[in-house]
Amino acid sequence: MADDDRAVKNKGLDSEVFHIGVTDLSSGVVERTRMRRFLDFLSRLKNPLTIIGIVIVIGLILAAVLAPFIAPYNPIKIDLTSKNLPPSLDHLFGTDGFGRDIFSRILYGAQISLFVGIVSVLGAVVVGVPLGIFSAYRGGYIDTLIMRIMDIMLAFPSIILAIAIAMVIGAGMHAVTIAILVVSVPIYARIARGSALAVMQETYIEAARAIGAPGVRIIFKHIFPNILAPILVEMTLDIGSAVLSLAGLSFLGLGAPPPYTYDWGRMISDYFSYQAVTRYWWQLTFPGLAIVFCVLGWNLLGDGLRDAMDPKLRLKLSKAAKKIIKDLKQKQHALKRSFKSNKKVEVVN
Amino acid sequence: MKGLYAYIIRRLILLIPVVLGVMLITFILMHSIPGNPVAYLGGSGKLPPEAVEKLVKIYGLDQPLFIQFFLYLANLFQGNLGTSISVNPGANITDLIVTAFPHTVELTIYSAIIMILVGIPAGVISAKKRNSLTDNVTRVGALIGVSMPVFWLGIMLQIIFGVVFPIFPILWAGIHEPAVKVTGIYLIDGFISLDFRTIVDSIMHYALPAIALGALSLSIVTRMVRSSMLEVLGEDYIRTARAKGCSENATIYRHALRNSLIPATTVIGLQIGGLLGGAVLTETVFAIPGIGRLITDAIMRSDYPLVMAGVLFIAIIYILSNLVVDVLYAYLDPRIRY
Repeated sequence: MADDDRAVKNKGLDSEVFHIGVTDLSSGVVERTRMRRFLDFLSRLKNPLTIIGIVIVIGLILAAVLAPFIAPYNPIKIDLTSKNLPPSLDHLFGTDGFGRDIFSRILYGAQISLFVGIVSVLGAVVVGVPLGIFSAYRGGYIDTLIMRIMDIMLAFPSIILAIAIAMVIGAGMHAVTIAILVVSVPIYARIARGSALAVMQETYIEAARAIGAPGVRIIFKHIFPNILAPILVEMTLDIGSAVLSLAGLSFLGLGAPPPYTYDWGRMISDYFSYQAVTRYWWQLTFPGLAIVFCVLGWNLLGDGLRDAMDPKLRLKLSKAAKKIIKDLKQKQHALKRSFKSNKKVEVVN
Repeated sequence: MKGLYAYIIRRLILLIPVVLGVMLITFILMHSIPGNPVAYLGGSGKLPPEAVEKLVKIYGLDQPLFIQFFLYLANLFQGNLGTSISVNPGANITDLIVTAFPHTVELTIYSAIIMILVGIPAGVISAKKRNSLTDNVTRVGALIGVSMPVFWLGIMLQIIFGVVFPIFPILWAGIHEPAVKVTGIYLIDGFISLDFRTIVDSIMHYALPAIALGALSLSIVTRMVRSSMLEVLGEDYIRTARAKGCSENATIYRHALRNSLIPATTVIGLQIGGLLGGAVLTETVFAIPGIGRLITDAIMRSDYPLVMAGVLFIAIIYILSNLVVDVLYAYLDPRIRY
């Protein structure tokens, strides 16, 4: 009702001019510069190391998805006639003590590593980020309380806390995933809180508050999208370290239970023996190389994303964008003049 | 100097809630373990009911949870970490940890030496010759270093330097016992009893595990020193040093290195704490009977009290090492007001 009144009172406001101004602001320039920014962002990913990272990550995802179709052998089928065979054309990475093809097992193992890595990191984001933003948004003793709890969790070396949690939940894939998830929650809570505190100084948050937007809306609609960049970088890097933690936990016997014995860390753990070290090197080497590649790929991609998102390297506006902004300023100027010349505009309180 | 003491005391006081919190977490985890605690205190359900009742009384399991927590705290502050149930049934966990800890300390010392003696020079050289071949090799090496599982690197070192080129022993066992055993750390005991064989044995047996454990931290320190060195090299006082005609080496080692090492100190200190966590895996690979091995054995045999005690112990050492780092940082950097 109040809005209608204002519209009636502001008859002097030339609706057409106003309309053009708003359309340009909202769609034209913003969309075009956004597109440019995105292209610019992509062009900054064209660093050789980042490309290697992208290739490795895509390769891993393909290996995980296509494993049932491209794996030459069944990863869990025991074949005692081909025990402990060294790498050959038949068995690219050799076979293990039960005659299972290590190459096939590694391909299937990518499923477990990627699943646990991605799910635990996504889970940590889903829990940690709202916690961090809420903490920053509320402030006061709630903020102190939440952050102290996070500090206490960070007081443990992460693998040690993960061991304790996985042990309590009981061996299994869900236990490892939850353990890694819980351990990484404080990292996201801290990043989210730090970035949210910076964003909350901005005028648009003040504006949202002034028009009476509820807290939930401000958190998810205004703060969250603006702190996404650092969180995305951390996520990419964290998938790598989640894969490492998974490998460590599996090595300690806290990982995936049968039939998921083709998990990379568990393979190393199962094969590790004096005999294997002295005679069957391939059984220990290749699963480990798979872990190294996987972690390296995510790390390279994460480093590349971080550099590309670095605001210090943001694009200098292209000529086209500058022209659009210049036009827009002229239009705004015209709009202002039309306001001034029209004395009928009343001050609305 | 007076301010520094006040700072240390303030930090120690601030430590109390963190340590209590850590104890609360291990307590909660202990109580979240499915099943009846008596089952793992007194052997799985084979006890007569009267004995179970007695055990429940002795351990205060009939009390409300928060009273149990205070009982737990009281035990901890008396140095009583509980009793092992399956790794070494009936043994006092505190004794087990006290016997195991020197081995972990020795391993950590060697790894820290490798991390500092290799990491800092590598970082400095990498920064000095920015974008050269050396720099790129160092950077890629550091990247691979942070991507490697500790235990796998240990196994690879065993294969390469223990089997293919048999230079080092594969396993830890077999260090010559020194005449005097004061600290339990072979290297130090060897020096005390002037036993040359123990010293050499200690170095040989710890070489591979120390490299395996130190590689991750080494890579992190190298990256850190490189980036802080590059940052310092862009400062005004470096330009001043060059302008007044300082030689390149004097500029780098006297002006830049000292300032770039301040942030590196933090990372090095944190890594020393982190080495303790990695030790769990390394000790398992090389069969070193340290805290890490103790925890692994306890996991394999579901010895819950031992796992939690080990976790708590490592967490507290980690917290203390972080405190030392912060104090050291405040001491080294006069710009920090405490």
